[in-house]
Amino acid sequence: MDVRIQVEGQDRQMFHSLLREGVDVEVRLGRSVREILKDDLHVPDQVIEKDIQSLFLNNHPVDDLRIPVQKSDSVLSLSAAMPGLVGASMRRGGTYAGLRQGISWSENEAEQVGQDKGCLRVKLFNFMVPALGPLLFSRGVQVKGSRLAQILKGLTEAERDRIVGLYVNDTKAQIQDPELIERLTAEEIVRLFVV
Amino acid sequence: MDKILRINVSGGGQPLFQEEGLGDYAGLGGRALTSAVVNAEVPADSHPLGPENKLVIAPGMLSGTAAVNSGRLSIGCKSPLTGGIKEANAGGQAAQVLAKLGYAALIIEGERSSDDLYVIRISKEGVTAEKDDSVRMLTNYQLADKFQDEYLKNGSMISIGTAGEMRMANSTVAVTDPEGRPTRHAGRGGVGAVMGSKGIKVILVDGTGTKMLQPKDPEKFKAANKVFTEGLKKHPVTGEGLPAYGTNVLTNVINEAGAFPTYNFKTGRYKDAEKISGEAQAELETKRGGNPTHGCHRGCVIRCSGVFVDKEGKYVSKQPEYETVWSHGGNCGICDLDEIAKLDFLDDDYGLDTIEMGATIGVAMEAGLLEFGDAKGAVDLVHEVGKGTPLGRILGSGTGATAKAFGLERAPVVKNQAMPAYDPRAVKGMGVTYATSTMGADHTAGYAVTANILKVGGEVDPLKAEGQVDLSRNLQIATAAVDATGMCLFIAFAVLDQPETFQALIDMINAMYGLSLTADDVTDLGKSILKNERDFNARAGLSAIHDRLPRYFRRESLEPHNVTFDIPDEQLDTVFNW
Repeated sequence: MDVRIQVEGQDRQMFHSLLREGVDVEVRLGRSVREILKDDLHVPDQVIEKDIQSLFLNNHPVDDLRIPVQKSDSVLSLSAAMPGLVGASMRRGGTYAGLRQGISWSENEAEQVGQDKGCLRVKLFNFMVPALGPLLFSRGVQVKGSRLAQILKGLTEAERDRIVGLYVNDTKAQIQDPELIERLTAEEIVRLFVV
Repeated sequence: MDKILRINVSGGGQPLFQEEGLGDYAGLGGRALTSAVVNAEVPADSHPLGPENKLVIAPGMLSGTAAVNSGRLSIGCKSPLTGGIKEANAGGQAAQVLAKLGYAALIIEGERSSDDLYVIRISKEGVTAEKDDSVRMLTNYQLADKFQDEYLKNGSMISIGTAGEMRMANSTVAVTDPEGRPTRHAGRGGVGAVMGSKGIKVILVDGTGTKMLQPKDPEKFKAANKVFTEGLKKHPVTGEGLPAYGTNVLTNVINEAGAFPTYNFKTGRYKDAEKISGEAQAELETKRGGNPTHGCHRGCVIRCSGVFVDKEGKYVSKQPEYETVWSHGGNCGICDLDEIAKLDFLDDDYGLDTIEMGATIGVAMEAGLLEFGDAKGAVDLVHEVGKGTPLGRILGSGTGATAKAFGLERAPVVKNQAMPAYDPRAVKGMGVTYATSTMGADHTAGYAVTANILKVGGEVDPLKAEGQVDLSRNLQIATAAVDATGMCLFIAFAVLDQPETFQALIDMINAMYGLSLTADDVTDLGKSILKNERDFNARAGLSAIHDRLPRYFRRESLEPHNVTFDIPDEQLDTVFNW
């Protein structure tokens, strides 16, 4: 099921929690984190080099963007620079990376490629949400239908007013339609566009 | 700041006051001064609540000046919680006011002869003490209501809540923020109990008629302050991340790294972390008309504190910090920001350290006193502490005491002080600092990430495991030095990346006092502070075996990475070899 939501003034904040929890995108496996960011997620070079300060692949802090993503359903999380000593230690290749030695990504974490394409769960934290959220949402992300239904049900009146259009498989729908919520809840995966 | 005010409670009646010059303490401020006084004047074998202990309250070297972010107030004593030396510091308005009044330190000493409680008033006109029974068992917010007409405009209130009055090992000294709320706390180690043991409930400082302290070289000071301020504003952490989200921006990241202690340090990931994250908190506050960007004292340009409001837009508490959201949230399995804010308010109101209190409740949950996730039960327990019920007295004695009372090994403490919000098995370098800090488990003891600039102990390979002891040493030295300045530790993020910002800090100190300190001198200052503290602790009976994490951190692995703390004891014992 494709769900396309048009928001007023590109205010997507009501859907930001989805990005922090993680959304699925299809990627080509066996390629480096940098290649996936650049070619599959279309993240600009400057954002990769300057703004993405901490990355986690399957919960392991990543120091080298050349490491490959080989397994479908891997989780890649992106963050800007963080406060605190531990926040600083999570920066890729930073001075304090040694403090978290033992959980950093290492060769031992690598697994063999089993297929060409697969799903990557992408999580965006803090400033990565406004920086990359529009990009992901405009190209479409996969989320659980029940989670999207939960968010739509919980919107305040003011938030609902900021949704100017909602289309399910290109057919106009009403956000408060109980049948829509029911249909979404029943869907395992929904492809969501927020524009 | 050229004088010390001694407040002696031994007089048999009202406290006696004596002003004196700085003497041997000249040139010291903040933690450097509190630790020097405690080491020199407090017998190491004294009882923390006995007449020989002293409570030292000291603004930093740059407090009271035009230097931005210089509002930290250090409070030192022998700790009722750890049995070692303690320096806990707080933001708020008081450091600036005390410094402008000319005080480098207040030293509260002696033996009270009755249960009377006193309110001390310090202003340009002099110092007075008033016996005031009406303050008995008042909470910090009740004290603020009672006295804010006196201090709101030009002063500040330093106070203890009911926990300090009952001399609990978990008790804070509160300092009011720019709105006059008692939201900033010298939280760790039970400093409130020492103030309570002296019978001092409230200190009102009034800065009316005082002026900003003038530097020896005003032009150089102004130029350095400008560079320093620009450095803080342009840095992505101090200029963007902290103002936008506060310290709780760490929740998602630390959780993602598997280093977020959950269910009393059982696992490193909390399934509901996103619900209590800084991003969710800021969105909620903004939606409700709260304010996620707020300074805890005037002159702060980072403004990482905030105001948390309820659904009706009414004030609930300050924006809970990362450590509070962790301790009362993930550590206890509570994922409701409203409940966490309520707990934060109660901690501030009764005068409890949120890290210690949340860790204590986590232990109580593991003991079966209540279920993980039981927010109402957690609130009830904090009330028990604040009201001093028999159960509350046990919980208010801290995490270690509570585990002992319930027969549990799993007390996440070092030197009896609860660990903060980073699991030392996942972030082993932090574990080194928890183990060896003079203060007990303390994330801020090795926090000032200036060590790469100071290069104390030589260059460190960031990706080498063996470097963690070296890193911890360097960080502890740098942090001790920053704690002497009165600067907020959060300046460290800008200093980490911007050498010119660090140089500007040294330039400000030099211009203020007519000195010519170098980075090496700053290193020496940090070392001298740690030397004082280590000396006191050794004489107080704390030895190498106290510089250890509890054994179960070596035995029980932490998910999701299945790691244990495996830094050898021999390496821990080299942290203070310089």
